[in-house]
Amino acid sequence: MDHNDIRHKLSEYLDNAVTDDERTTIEAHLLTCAACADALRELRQTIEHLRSVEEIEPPAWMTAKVMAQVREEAEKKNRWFQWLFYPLAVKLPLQTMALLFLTVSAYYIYTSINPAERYTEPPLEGRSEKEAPKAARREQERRVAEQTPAPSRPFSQKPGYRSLDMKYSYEKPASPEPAAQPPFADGEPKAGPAAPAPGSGAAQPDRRKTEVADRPQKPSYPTEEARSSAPAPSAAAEGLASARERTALRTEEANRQRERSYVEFIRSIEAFPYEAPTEKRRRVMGNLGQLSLGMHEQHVTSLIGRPDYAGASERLGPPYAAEGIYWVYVFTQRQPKFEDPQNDQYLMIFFDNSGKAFRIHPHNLQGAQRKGDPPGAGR
Amino acid sequence: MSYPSEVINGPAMDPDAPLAAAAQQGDLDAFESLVAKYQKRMLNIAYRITGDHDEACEVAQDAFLAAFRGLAGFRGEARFSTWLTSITVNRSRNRLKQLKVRRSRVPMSLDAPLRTGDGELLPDPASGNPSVLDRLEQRDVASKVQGCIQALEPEFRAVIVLRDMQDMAYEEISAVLKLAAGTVKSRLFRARESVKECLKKAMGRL
Repeated sequence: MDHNDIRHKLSEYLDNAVTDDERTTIEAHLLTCAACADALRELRQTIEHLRSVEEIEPPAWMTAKVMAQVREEAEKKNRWFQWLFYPLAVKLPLQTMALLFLTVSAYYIYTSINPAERYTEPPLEGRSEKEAPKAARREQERRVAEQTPAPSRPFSQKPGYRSLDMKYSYEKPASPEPAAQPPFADGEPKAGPAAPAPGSGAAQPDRRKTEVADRPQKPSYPTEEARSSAPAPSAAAEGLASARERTALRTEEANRQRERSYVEFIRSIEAFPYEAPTEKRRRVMGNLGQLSLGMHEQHVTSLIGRPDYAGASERLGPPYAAEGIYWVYVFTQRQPKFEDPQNDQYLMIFFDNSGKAFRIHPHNLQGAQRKGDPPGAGR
Repeated sequence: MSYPSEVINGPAMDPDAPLAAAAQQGDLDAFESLVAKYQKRMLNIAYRITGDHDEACEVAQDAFLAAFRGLAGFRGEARFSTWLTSITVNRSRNRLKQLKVRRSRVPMSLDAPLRTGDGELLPDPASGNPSVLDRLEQRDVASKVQGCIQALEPEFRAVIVLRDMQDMAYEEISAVLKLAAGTVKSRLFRARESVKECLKKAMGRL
């Protein structure tokens, strides 16, 4: 062992923790090396000092305080055990009540879900074809949608299907106000309040005609029910027969309506690039000129229908402040994820928090004029 | 003669085994005896590691309570005292960490020495600062020693306290701190050297 090793071993040497051989070596070295002898002495003294420090006495209350806490712990444990092992007479009724409570709660929750949203159903237009594969059915619906200017058929529409059916946005050209509507008691479904839609007068007679023409399809309704993959809501079908319930349904769904998100819209498109159906294009472009700033959401809807998707303005980031919501009507979109500003065609309408349009922004739409300040201006 | 560590620290040689077993069964008086027996040792360990009297009292109480809660899991693989000491050292170290964080947030001025609960002067652990050591010189040996121990890093504090202040055997220190024997020895060496240097400066000569 060299000098350094010995130094390092001095600590153990003092503790008698070295082997006999090591001890011999160290002691021999110490006889010759004054430095190491000094180091040993200092180390010994240090340990002496350390040992000389007296221990502090625990306060008199320490044991008692500890035991108080310990007893409390023990008490808690006992109580818990006892609770687990209550006599059966007490436990059984408790458990029965708990079970009952859970059952009742579950039932209430279930019944509080809007009955219409419980099931999904394809819209009536697709029912002329029976047992068609899903894709073909969708195709059929789209075709029908293009041919049939969207009449509103609340009694056939199942709201649960909304998010899948892109065409749905054209089901409600009218505002969702049921109060102004004449009831359906006369058997002929109306397109909704004709009064607040002065500009669409031309379109309406068409709608009425096709509505009447399509009505004979109604009897096939029950059979179409069977095709639905969702649990057949035959009860709902019968319930909808009453006109008043139809109205109520529309209100409900309107009230609970949340704007479709971009994601849902994208999902509803089967193939890209996407081209809006002619009817949609015709309707929006045809009535675009009548949209004006300050117009209310409902008015806009009555003119050009519901948007393809919507969102909160703040989501757009700067320079858009949290100034309300925006609606988008898409005419062409090349890709699902990335917007192609050069080629995509769409219409954006911004509504403030009181539901009034303050910016109408057509993009790549021929002949359409922007209305309202650009974002970030005048604020 | 020295026994192998498993024997020394194992249940065969645990004088507390009967009491611990009784306490496990729910005998609270047995547990009280254990508390009374070890409270001084645990308090002092906590005091030397945390450097604060009040904190040490709390830590010691917490340690006993934790031991009571953990009794069910104490299978007697180690001695009861070893196990209890382990709990105490860990809690002391954790408390020390918290205290250090708290203190570091307070802007320190060298003219206003940090006082611990019992008026001890705590030197800045990072210092070889002469003014701090000057103040140490005014104290008696015990306070100087305490001051020098406080200047050590926590892991060095633990070994030197257990060895040179509580007279624990290497094997037991190994078991308490869960360190290999070699590590215990080297740490002890370095801790002692540090204290030695610190005391030399504080006392002029040893």
